[in-house]
Amino acid sequence: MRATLAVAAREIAERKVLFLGALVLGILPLFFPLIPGLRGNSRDARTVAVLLVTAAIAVGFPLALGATILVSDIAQKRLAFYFSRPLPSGSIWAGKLLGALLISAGCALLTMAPVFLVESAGAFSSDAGGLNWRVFLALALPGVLVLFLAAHAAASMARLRSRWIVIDFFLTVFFAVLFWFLLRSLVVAGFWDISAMTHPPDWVAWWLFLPLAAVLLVASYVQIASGRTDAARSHGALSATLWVVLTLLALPLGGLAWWVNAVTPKDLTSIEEIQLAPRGSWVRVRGGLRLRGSAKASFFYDTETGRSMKRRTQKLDTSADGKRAAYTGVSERKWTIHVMALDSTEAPAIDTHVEMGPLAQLALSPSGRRLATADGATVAAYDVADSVNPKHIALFRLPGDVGGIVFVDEDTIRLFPRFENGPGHGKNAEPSRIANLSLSSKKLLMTGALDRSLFSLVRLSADGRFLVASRGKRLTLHDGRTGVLLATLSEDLESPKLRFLSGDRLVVAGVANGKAVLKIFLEGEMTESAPPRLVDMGPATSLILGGEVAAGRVAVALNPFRRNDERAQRAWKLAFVDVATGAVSSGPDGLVPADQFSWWFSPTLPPAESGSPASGLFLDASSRLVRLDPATGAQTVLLGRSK
Amino acid sequence: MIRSDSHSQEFSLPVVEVRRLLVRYGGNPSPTLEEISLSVPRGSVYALLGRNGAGKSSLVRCLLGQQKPTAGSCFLFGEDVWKHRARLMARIGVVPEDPDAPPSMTARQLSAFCARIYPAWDAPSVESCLARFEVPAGTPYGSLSKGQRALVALALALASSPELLVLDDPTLGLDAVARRAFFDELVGELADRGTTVLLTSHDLAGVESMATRVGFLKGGRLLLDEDLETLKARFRRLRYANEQTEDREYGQELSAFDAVKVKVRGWGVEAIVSNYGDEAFTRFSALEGVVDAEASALSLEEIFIAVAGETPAGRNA
Repeated sequence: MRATLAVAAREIAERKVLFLGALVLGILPLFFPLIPGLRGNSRDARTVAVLLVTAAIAVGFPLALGATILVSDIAQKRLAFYFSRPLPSGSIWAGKLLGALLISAGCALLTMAPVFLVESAGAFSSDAGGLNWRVFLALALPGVLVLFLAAHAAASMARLRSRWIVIDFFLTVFFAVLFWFLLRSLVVAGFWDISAMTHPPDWVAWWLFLPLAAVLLVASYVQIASGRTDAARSHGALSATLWVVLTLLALPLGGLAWWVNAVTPKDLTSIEEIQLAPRGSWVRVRGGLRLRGSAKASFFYDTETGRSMKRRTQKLDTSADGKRAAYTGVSERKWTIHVMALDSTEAPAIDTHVEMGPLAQLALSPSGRRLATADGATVAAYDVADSVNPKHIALFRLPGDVGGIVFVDEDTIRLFPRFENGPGHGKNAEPSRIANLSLSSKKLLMTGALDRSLFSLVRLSADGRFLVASRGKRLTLHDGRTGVLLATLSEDLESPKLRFLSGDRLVVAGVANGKAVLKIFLEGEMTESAPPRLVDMGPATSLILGGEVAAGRVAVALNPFRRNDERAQRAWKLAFVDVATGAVSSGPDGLVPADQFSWWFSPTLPPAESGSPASGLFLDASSRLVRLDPATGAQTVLLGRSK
Repeated sequence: MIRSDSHSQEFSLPVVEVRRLLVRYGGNPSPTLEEISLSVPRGSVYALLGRNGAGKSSLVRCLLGQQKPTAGSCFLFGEDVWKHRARLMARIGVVPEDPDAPPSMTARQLSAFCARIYPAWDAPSVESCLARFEVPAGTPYGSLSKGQRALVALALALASSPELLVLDDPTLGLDAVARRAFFDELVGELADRGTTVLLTSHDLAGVESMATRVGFLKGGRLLLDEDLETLKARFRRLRYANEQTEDREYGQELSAFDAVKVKVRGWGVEAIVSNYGDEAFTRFSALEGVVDAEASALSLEEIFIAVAGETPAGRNA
């Protein structure tokens, strides 16, 4: 320690003029009030100037000292002075390093000192737009260390010039690319939940800087201890250690990246997102993964056969039979549309190379052979039947942005207005147009309009016959082609939900005055004049409307809590309502219909079909995917694990 | 008791021992040092002589644990210097070939720095030594002349009362006055303390007066490693007039002396021999055809030229 301090003290003494310079730079901003143009803002200007100079010193000094302190000594054969003294190699290395760090940190602090002394800590407080000291120090200290060591390593490679420089060049590129991809794959998989910001920035900084600093520290120590005054050997020791240690780091990191990414639906702990194909047994599920930090993965999963495909997806649509899917996936760092045959044993996904913006919509034709996209006011259609490259069929530009797009049949695309809730889209705004686009005739026909004052959210029935518009408690049913109002379905229910049922029936569910209410509209009753049948489901504050588990039998989940904590999760009670009689029967506790999110994911509502595989899927209190046999009440856990 | 045994054991070991030292740099096919072995007994002054590039500095760097040899090993006081460098350096004073102290530090600051890291440091001796040399103690090292820097290095090397002094061509580039001051100080030190010295130099005249043993290094190979007294005793220059006889080939009369160089002059023959003996010379003088034979001693430089075939400064002889 004594030897280390002696070397450090010598380094500092040799560069003591830097401290004087830093102090002068720190004093200069005190004279800002004397500058005429700055008088009004002199305090702010002073703080900004000092912070800029401090930042420049905190970055520049470690870089400059790292590139010179040890490397110049080796290159100019002056390190022999230390090695011919009774100084351990570690003391020479540590003393030089300590000296450089103290010079960098000391000069940075000295720059701030004059303003700090004059105005106290308030000058740099975060309230004054300055610093969070804890974060500043936590970021600055490891940052200075890493900058110094990185500059030292780079300067060693450049100035000590042995044959290692060729290897250094290639391995630097190789490891930079390797670590970029490994870390990116972990970030993309959500292994570190950056968006959640569960850790303070200083914690993140330490965990980012620390491994890098440790690698560089080990390499530079071995360089000095093993290379000593021999420049070529010194370079070799640094490089060999650096690349070996990085390899040793890359192996477990690569293993971790593989472990996090090589997952199957069986690794899902809970289902956080689920999207059900309107027909067939395929679902898209996304959720947390067992023993993989906060990583999440999404899969296409066949609830009948258990087959699965891991796909990073955003938007999704399926053909009417649920056997072909179109989804946006990442390809060459772009979100492009992929088309996939879900029932194929090999299930190759075809990248159509059609790029999708974040607000774009996509739709598959009922047969799955045609694809339509709407991005802003542009609508395009493609033939994706059997070609890797989609065949372009049509391209249209509309007067306004498209909000929903659905194939009414193989030839006709229906476009309906975009959900708009901002200024200029109020009651006095122009009505939103509904249009039919014929792919065979390449003609766009305005078929109707929808009064903007009626909706903040629009959904289309799967067959395109109806539009459902909602705004607050008001839920209205419109003709899907003309937009003509057919019926006001509800005006008193909070967040009303709607399901089209078989036999041209529909059900609306919601909560009013602390009670869950179902409104049943039978065939021919969907008019302004016909009142619905009301079913009082009893006390509830939240409600989820499910599908038709059997003909005329609808699943409804009720909850006395509005919040979404664990207690509320376990409080769901499932009931089945016979729409013909209004009779309510109890189902298993804790289950909610799995397609609870369909209202949000797709502009198209689930098809009116009873007894489909999708309608028998539920999520339990642990967010596991469960198949329920409504006849027997038997439950089969398909995905997820008990908490 | 054990300590006493180990102490006496160490005392009997050579201070410096180099075993089959091989140094090879990068892609150079021929080694800089080729399996050198030598030892320096306690109290001796070993002069390792060779021209620039002979491998002297590489040997010194290996000997000081500053450079790892390609093969072989170096021992100081019986300990492997690569493994125990820091501890061993407390017993050694070093004067490098190139002044390597930080240029911004003054001699006084250098002395203060060394005082913190050496177990025993005689700071006053540095001051008095510098005063004797008339070297300003407050001038930055980088601003001193080369001769002054060498004298500062010597003063620092002596201040820790080293058991071994390693001097790597310390007078290279010094003028005659500085060289004289340097060697005077060194001789005085040797007389006072009996310090073991390993000295590399091409200043043969300077080292001849104090070396007890010499080694000749050429092209990475140790051509000769011998006590200086013995060396000078067996090397002689012979001059004689030669009358040719029918039963002897020209120069055959020198076979008993292991002649290393023979030159035929107008007046006769001049030879440098490496196996001179008084009795042999008497017999040689009495040989038929050998007339007016005389033997004269050689300087170290002359011996070096005869053995190495070149002057230490690099001029071919």
